[in-house]
Amino acid sequence: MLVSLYRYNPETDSAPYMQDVEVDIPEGKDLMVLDVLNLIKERDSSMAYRRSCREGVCGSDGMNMNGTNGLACITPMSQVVKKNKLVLRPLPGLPVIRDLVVDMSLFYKQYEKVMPYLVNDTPAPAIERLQTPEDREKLDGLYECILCACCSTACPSFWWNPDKFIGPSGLLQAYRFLADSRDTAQAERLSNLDDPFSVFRCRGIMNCVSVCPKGLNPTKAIGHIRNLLLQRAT
Amino acid sequence: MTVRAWKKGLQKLEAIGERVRNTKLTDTSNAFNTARIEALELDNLFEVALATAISAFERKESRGAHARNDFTERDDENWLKHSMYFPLDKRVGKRDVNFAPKTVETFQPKVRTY
Repeated sequence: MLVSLYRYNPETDSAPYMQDVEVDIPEGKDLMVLDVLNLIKERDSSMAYRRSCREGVCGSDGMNMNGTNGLACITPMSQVVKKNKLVLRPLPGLPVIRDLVVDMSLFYKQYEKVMPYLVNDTPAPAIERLQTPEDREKLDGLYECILCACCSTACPSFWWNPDKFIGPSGLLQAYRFLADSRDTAQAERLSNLDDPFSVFRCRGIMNCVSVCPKGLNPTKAIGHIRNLLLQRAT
Repeated sequence: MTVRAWKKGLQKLEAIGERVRNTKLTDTSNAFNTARIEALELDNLFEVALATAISAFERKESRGAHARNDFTERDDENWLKHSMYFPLDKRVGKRDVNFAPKTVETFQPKVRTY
């Protein structure tokens, strides 16, 4: 099985290059892409990639596999390998630190902008802030995001304006708090998003929806934010 | 656990220990060096594994997941203790579990004079 790896070590390489590695895949087993990377690292310890939980919970191993972003740990080889070849590249559009490791600073900066925490200055009740089951249901499909950055780095609008467009991941989180019945900062949140770039650079390309490893729908959330912004303006 | 199985396990551990002592880090880069992290993890994991195996042998009782065929009963008389392993002098010790309640009485705020 031929695996083509994006390699770059800033200390020794003047430019990134692709390295072809032949990997022996055990017969009759459908390994995950991360397992194959681990096999490669056993032979060449200089291969750098992030990984932690190996079950799609931590969001560390987002990468580009045969052209599609996803989490290596929950992507079976049978799903991505084409013509017995696998090409692994770092997430597109972010600066590469080394091999498959990208600098996520821009991504986190956009996340920080949407105030990803509950804002409620009313005195805290003795036990906890309650919510009806119906209100809680409105957060389903929003709170599950693990910030793996697969969506934002698959988004052409984010590639163009990673400094000004919040990106699908950040906007999903923005709506997660806009939709929260316990949050009292809706007006402030919307004001922060009310400019030509933060939300409206989304062109409905929907790459984010097709790559999200958790099956979430950022485009839908962005649609809701648009509605809120338009309602507010009229 | 039987003594024979334990001895076999310890032999295997010692063989691994020999290999751990011979590990070499070929990647000395300062850029996101995951090989170095794994090398440090290897040392720490082995240290803990060895301490676990040796302390388990010394603990002559069964307690929870620590199950022995030669000492099948829990022994609170002698073993309501913390196991300690000192790698430098390869010594096993134990320490009483401190059951004294940890409470601090409230007191009035006042000026600190020394």
